[in-house]
Amino acid sequence: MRKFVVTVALLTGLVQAQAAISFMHDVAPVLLQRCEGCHGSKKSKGDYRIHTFEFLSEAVTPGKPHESYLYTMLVDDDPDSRMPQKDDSLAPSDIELVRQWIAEGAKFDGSYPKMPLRSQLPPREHPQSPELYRVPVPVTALAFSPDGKSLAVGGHHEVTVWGAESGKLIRRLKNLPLRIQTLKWHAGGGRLIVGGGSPGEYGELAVVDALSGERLRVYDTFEDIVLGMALNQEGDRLTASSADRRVRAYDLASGKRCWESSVHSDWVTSVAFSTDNRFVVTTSRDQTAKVLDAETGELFTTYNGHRRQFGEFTGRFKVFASVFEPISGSVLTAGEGKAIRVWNPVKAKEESGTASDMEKRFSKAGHTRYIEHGLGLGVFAMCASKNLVYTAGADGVAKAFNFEDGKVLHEFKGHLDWIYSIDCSPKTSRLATGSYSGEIRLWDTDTGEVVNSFIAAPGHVVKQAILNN
Amino acid sequence: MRQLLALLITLFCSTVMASKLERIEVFPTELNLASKRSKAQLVITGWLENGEARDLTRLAKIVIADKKVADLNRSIVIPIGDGETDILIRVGEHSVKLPVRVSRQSATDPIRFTTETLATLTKQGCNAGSCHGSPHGKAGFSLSLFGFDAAHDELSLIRGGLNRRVNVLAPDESLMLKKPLLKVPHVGGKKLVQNDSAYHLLRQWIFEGARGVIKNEPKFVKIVVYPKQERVLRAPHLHQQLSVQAYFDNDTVRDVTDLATYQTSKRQVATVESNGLVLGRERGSAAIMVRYLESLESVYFTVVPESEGFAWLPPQENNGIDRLVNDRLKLLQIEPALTCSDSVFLRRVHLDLTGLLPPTVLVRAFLSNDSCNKRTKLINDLLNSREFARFQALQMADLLRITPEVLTDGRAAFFAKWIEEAIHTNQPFDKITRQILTASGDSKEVAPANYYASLNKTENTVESTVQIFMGARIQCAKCHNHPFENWTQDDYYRIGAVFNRINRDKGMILMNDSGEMTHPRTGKVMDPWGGKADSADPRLKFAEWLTAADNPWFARVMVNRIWSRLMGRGIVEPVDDFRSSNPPSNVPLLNELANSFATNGFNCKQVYREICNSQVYQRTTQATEFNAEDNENFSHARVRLLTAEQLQDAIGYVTGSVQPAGEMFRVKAELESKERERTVKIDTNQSTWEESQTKRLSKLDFHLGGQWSLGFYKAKDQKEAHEKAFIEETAFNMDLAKQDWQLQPDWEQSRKVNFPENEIGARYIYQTITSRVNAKVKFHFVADDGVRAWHNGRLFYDQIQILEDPKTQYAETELSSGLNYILFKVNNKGGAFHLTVSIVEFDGKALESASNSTLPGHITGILAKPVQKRSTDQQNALRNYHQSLDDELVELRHELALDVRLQYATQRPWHEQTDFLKAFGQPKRTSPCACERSSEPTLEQALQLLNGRQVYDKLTDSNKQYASLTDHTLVEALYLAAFSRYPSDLETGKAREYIEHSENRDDAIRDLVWALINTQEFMFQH
Repeated sequence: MRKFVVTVALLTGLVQAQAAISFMHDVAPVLLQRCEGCHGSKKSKGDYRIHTFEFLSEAVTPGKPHESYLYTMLVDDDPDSRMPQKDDSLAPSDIELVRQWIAEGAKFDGSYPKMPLRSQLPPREHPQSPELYRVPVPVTALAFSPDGKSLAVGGHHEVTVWGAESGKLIRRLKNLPLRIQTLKWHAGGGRLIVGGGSPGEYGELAVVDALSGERLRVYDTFEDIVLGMALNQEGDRLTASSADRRVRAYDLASGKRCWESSVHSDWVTSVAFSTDNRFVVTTSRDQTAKVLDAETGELFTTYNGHRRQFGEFTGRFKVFASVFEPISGSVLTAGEGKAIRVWNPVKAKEESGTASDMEKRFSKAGHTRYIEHGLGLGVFAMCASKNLVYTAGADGVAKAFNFEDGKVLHEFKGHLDWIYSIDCSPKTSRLATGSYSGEIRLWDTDTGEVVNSFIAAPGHVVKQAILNN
Repeated sequence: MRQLLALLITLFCSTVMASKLERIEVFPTELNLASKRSKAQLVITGWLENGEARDLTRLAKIVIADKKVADLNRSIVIPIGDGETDILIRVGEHSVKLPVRVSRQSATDPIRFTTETLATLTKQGCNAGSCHGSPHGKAGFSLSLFGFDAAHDELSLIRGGLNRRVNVLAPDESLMLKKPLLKVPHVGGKKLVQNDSAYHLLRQWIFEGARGVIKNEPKFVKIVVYPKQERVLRAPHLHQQLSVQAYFDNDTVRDVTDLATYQTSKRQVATVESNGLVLGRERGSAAIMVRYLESLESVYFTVVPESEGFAWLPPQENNGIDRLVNDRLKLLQIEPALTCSDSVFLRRVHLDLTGLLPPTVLVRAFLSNDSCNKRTKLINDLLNSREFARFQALQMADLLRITPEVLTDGRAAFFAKWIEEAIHTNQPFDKITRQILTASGDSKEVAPANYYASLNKTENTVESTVQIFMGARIQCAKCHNHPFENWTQDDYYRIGAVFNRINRDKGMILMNDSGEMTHPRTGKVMDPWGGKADSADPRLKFAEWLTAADNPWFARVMVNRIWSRLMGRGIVEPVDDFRSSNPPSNVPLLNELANSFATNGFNCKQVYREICNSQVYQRTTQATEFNAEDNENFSHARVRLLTAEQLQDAIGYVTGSVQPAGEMFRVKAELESKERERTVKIDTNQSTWEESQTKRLSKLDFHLGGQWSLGFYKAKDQKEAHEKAFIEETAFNMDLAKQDWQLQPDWEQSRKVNFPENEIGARYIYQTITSRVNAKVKFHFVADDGVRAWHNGRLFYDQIQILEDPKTQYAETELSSGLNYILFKVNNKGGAFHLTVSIVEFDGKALESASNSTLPGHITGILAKPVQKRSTDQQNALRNYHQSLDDELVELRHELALDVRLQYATQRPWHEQTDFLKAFGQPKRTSPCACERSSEPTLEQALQLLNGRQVYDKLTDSNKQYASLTDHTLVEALYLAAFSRYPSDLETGKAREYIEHSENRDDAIRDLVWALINTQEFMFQH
């Protein structure tokens, strides 16, 4: 049986043997998908790992597939030993790829043999989005264009662009990852920076032309979906954060990666640049917010206000959103729990201290200010404009808070499901909220009234603005 | 394939014909398929003439009349279109009809989250305790254990985690499918197979919109599993299809055979497939557990494979126990062992009932006795002995955790003694239990109240009580519904409500007025188990419920414990782990024992009696080919290591370092008669002694009586304390019986007495002085703060505050010859409070010490009175004092009090925890679990026996016991003591040879003893 398989594989291999096999293109994706679960950074059965090239090559003898465990284990006769264990074997064509690659010298055509392979994979070709959506998708990302006239919304393998007043679908920018988690307009509205990916599989950060949808550059591939993204004030630096716990910064023009930081111990849910461009604040599911140096990515301080405080707002909370208040330089972070925390990165470092001065520190009240938001299960997204902060909440309500006194200016009710995304357009005095049900609502930020609501899914009936109570 | 099936059917029918198929039956008996996705797993049973059942599901011919209404998928009926039809099932010449009704086939039938999605996650193992069902989930994704919290799971799966786990538009992209399919690396491994029914269900659920809990959806009530009773799988029919039906509160029924989670309690005996097909493998019994949502049911299977050459030869049966055990052995085709020899029986029953080896004198008598009921008589004697009560009390004390460290001030001994008495007088066990559970009061006075004194929190009171008296391990239900049993978290806290109001302040067990038990998750106030929330003492109702004759737990666990103590293994094992997934190895036996126990007044000794008299108990440990592998059906006796205490005592007995057991009776009687003799002797001297003492005293210048104190009297300031007459101070010759005068025998002249109070007030001290002549006497006072003193009612010293100045510290008075009465009053202005009085001069001469009578003050006080004026109490006090002067009498009494038997560890209620005892598994008594007494062999044990400290010490004097005997008698005595049998000629020869050829006879004897106690025959029961 084995001989039969091998022969067939050889034959097909011969037919395909024109181009040399690219490890990163042809071999790595298969191995990462089928083998990494048991032979990766989390689990290393038989003490063998394949998540970096260095580790992977421990089972490879270049030029000699029959002396390489990587190949021989794939075709082992004994069903209990054959890899992957307790699963279907690799497709014959894939096995042949592995054999051929080893035979051709087992060359590595990635950039970093010691770094995780997953984040060096070449940019993917994404499948086509369906013409019409059978069901709406949750709105996990939305962004107003700089002139406030269009609204870009994350869709299924695409970004859809809608008229902010009309609620009509204007354009579809395809060939994008499965899910979009964060969107930013750039170059006066000519470009869109898109962060997303497939949860648990990969994350992608790319820039596309806002009109043609052409994917101009893929900045990077992450090991898990990209969750947060921010641009600095000048618009020449980009940072992105991912569920793979990493934060990376890029030079926008050249695409070069400036730095990478791995200081969080869980998903990094959002990033924000400080107004003076000195810091990057990151929030995480590990219940902290961290302040990094914007230039170098070095850790400046950790803010523990979401997990270590006493009194009314005590508890341990995952943090989902961050936004800098434009005037004062304070940063607002929010997530689970009852209140938004307002704090200053420099003061937070001063208050960090050591164990020896703990007593003294605890005797002073910290400088953190709390804005109680009263939104059920927590806040998933925030945006800021002038002196107002807008929050998107799990109970379907968005609120506008006056930053100075924490008073609620407007309550935006009407969504029937969780609100995952929020954005504001100061130019047109508009606020947009997107929910789990796929509904987008547009609000007047001056009056607090709803202006329009529609389902952001191609093929679904556009609802006219209904002015409910 | 079809030919093969036909052949099978013919073959089967012929074999079935051989055992005569009487009728066939189908379950369910009618079908109502009322939704599109409904279906029904049929189970076809053939009943044989001999009453056994056979699963014919896959061998019957099943035909549906109208295929437009319903169709078959193997033995599963699926609906096609609305209507009615019949299914005809035929096996050989037997047939049965099954009506089918199909409706609502055009209505949608969306997948229900609570009853289908969550059940599937349970079935695939996603929400197990070691995976995402663990308290913090895994890798940030958490589900409730076995899906008991649908709201939590809905949050986690659908909207939580930033909605990354489900993708409604493209279900195959959902992480919750990709991970278990291993399309994305999953540390938990492959948990779904593409195109399996579980995969299809989950995918379909996502496709339909991944909807969560629906308001007002029909609630799940229970499952019904068919077959319900135990089934026997006899070769070659080693399989059984199960059918599981779920009942809802809107009176609908749904087949969930493919959604239920199946587990086996013993893989080697039986396994179960995911579609509910049970496969029998090896001989034995196993429970197949069926879990669906919150319900857990077990079906018991007995598997009887082929056993060539087996013939059932019914052995002698003594009583009902033998019959029930043998019934099971016959079913399983296991051979019962023969009855053991007299010497094996003697040693075994002695150890099991009293913990001690039979004394040699008894061994000789028993082995030479010819009467046919000697075993029965021996059992009765042992059950009536004190040793039995003590040994059983020791084992109860293990469970009740009686330790002197926790139950201080003698309460441990008090409680243990109470238990011993209860066992000795054979109090009904339900009465004992009720007394323990409802005890209230001072634990120093109410012995059973000490049960609660050693359990300091409600939680461990609940867990201990349930484990000891119900044999259930309810600990898991503290934080969530029990994963393996039908105990819910509500049950745990309802039992908690029974005990939550107990107040254990300072050893008093009382019920508080308040102390409701609230459920930690829901905050609801729980009604106590067995009663209502407002009853005064909820323990009463609970104890009543527990000890009722029909309570399913109480009798069972106790008879199981007794069985285990005698047989080495419970019918349910572990003995205190009763759960439906841990079935008894012999259900009718346990039921019969429990029933008999409950209906005959919970008579423990009777249970022991019946078991010990059975042939099952008296079987040998010799195994044969047809029962060697049996571990749980009592076909033969078990080889058991002696317990820690038994071993220590056995070694003690054989080495002579502890008094021989049987002679205990004689020793005690001897001691008692000696003590009586001596007392009489002393007493005859009483009056002579009194006279001589009085005479001696009269020669002294003076002597003092005992000091009596009275107090404490509070005052508002020092002046009042000093001056106010709280009693009639001028009256002398106080009637000490009238007020609360306390004799203080350890107070003396010239010795400082510290009073306990520190408030403002005063105390009185009263004293007699007997003087030979009229003489002046000078007192010296040191006090905090001041003193007044009266002599015969006349105030002769008055110092409100005694100062450093000596002038304030002395006082004189003139004693008259004979009895003088002195009264002191000490005042306290606050703070420390003490007094020292010394007589420093008598009749002008300085004195060094005033106490010169060599008798305690109160005795001289009594002697000073004329004989006829002494009260009975005073006369007894003199007698007792005189007796206490005799050393020999004191020693005798001390020995009697100790009760010599208590040198034996098996006769003491608490755990000494010597190295030896610890090595052999003596429990530390920190847990109510029977498993705390370990019976595992360890290296430490071997070392202790070879050359441990305790063993060494006992061996040192072991020669003394035997040195005076001749070689032959010596060897015989050793073997009789150690093994309860005579040595063979070979053994005698070898031992004698060894003694003769050794240089030092004493050493040789020690060596022999050491060798014998290191043999397996000694250490084990066999």
